[in-house]
Amino acid sequence: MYFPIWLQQFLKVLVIIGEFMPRALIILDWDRIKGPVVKAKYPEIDFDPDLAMKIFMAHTAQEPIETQLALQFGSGETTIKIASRFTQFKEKGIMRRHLFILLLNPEENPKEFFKLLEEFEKNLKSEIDASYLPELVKNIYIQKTSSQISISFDIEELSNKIIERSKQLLDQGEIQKAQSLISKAKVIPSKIVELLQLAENAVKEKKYIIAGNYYESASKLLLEVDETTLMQQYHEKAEKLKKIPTLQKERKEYIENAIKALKKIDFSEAIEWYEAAAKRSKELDDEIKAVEYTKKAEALAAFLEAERESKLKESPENNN
Amino acid sequence: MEDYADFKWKIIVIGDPSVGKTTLMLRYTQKKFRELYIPTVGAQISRKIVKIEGYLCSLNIWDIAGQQKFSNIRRLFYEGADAAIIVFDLTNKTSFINSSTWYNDFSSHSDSSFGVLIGNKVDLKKNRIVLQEWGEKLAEKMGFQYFETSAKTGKNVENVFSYLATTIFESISNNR
Repeated sequence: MYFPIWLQQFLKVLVIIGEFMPRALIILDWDRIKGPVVKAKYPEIDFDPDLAMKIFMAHTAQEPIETQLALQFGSGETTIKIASRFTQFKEKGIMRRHLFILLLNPEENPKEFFKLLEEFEKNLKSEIDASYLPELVKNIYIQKTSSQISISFDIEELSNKIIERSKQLLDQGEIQKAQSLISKAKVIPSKIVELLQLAENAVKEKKYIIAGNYYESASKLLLEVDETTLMQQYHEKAEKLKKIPTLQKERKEYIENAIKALKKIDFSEAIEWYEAAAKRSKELDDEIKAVEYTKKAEALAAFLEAERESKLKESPENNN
Repeated sequence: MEDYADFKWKIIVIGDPSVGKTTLMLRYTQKKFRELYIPTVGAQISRKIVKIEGYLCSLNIWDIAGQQKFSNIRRLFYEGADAAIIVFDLTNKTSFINSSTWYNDFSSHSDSSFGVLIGNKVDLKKNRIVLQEWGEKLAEKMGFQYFETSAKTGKNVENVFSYLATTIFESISNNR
């Protein structure tokens, strides 16, 4: 099956992110008066307080307390998978209890995230009450999860490239430009990873235009740091994603028209519609459907050809 | 609103399963009644802000599951409680007898010894088994105030929480 280079890279990003990309990290503090309190979460998502209580109970209902748990709530499309880590310790005579929760995608295995949770706990445990915790959680989440997408997008590589370019500018005496570029090296790579994650989530929710916008934003950030090759790739991805809803709509119409033509026994028209649907499928990189509609068109064409030949044989000229 | 409250208190609601703990809480916090019995898993927390003498007071009401299987974690739920509401069903003698066990459970795991005893489902007059004087005597023994309520009609529900809130507030004021 043929995939253009940009699509291969795009799929690589999706596959890598998909393998190791939890939906969110949530940190809960157990408050004696208020119960489970969300101290920080990233990305910003709605988190059901009842679910927080259930997770807390799953950890504490048995003796000894379970430190790490792989949990699943609901079934079918409503399945929620969770990897959770519970800690408790005495601080100034008061028992503190915290939960580090990773909200996962249905296809992910919670046990594979225990190590990551341990790292989150190690990095964040002493900062639970800090006012900057949400910002810290965001940065650590991006840092820890982005290492998993480094094959397709290497933060360090981009940062190094920017720094290298800054050095060149310094050599050329462009001090202001070099300083500006260095300051961008600190923020832009992680911002791009964040945008890619948001784009990935949007693709999963079939919000292609939104996903395209995220890629476009990532592309613009790359332009800011003169990373034109990657910028062009992301721009193309953005364009492609934004076209998906229109292409899907058109393909649906073509199929409906083909079926209508078949009902009218107008095979020629049906062939045209199936061919058009196959073309749209190729544009959508939906090879399976492209093959299906091409085969249907070819089968109808073969049928028409057989009919034509049969009619020719039956014609008076041939009979003579 | 919760964050702006001058006082934050924790009230736990305990008692045998299906005596009406959740419906009492639902009646007080949402003015609703639910016919269907859905057992509570662990604990359900509701909040209501009340104003006492110009102060905003946040009542964190913990409806704690009555099932035996949750006994391990119940003590965690008792931590920091300012008051307890022990509920029994006026049509169910066992639930009344078990109120003493619930009281012992609360007093042994909590710093507070303040609370109320509630005989719920007072609307079911024909099925009533527990007499008012039995409830009053038991409450006296516990050092609690006794109320008879109906989560269905709302009878006395507001009074229970109002009594608890004002008494906690008064004890804080007196200790100042």
